[in-house]
Amino acid sequence: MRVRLFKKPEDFDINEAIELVSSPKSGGIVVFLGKVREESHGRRVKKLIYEAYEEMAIEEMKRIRGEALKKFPILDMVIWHRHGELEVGENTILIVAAGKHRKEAFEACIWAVDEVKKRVPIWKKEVTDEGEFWIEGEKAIPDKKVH
Amino acid sequence: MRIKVRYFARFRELTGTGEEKIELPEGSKVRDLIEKIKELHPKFKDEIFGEDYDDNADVNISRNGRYASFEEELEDGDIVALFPPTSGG
Repeated sequence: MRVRLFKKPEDFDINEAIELVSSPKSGGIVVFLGKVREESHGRRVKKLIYEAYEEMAIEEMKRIRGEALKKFPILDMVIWHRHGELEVGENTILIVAAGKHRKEAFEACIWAVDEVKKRVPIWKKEVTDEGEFWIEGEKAIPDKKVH
Repeated sequence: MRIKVRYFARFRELTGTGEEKIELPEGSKVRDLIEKIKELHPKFKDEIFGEDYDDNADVNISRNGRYASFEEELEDGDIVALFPPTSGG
């Protein structure tokens, strides 16, 4: 499946994703793999808890893939996202774009990552050494349940 | 008519529920549903719809899995979700 949500402990098989978009027509495949980083807003991150509105998230990811295929002259695209409690270093998102040439594959990949962040109903709560924070767009809001 | 309302992330914590059914008169719009939700959940209302509330920035609404506007008309059996700005990736 080119659009998919993975609930931890399920994880991406990156080779499978590349295989899905590979064809003799493609001369360039761009892979973006997002990871949980150890730091956010100067705070030490212990883990990220991702929550998804699964039914809509899938539909929105399909719409983004469809739009990417229209907007850029790419051949194919995979959009995968994980949810659940993800530790530092774990995979969060995988976008793979295949193009005849590298330029459109890079551009489509960057565009799709930005759109996923803006539109797909998935949220992360950061568990840090200074407490827990809901991340909403650019804002980090302390989780009142623990403060 | 009866609408199924779902809340996610911080909104779920503020309302204390992930899902509820709300009765509304025929012809109601998303805006009317929001007013009803504010009555039902004062904590959610105070936290989200306070003084510096911005329609365009603070609350996302979807109807049957697609982003919806406040002016959209509702139908019996609709699933409406309210959620904060997203942060996937």
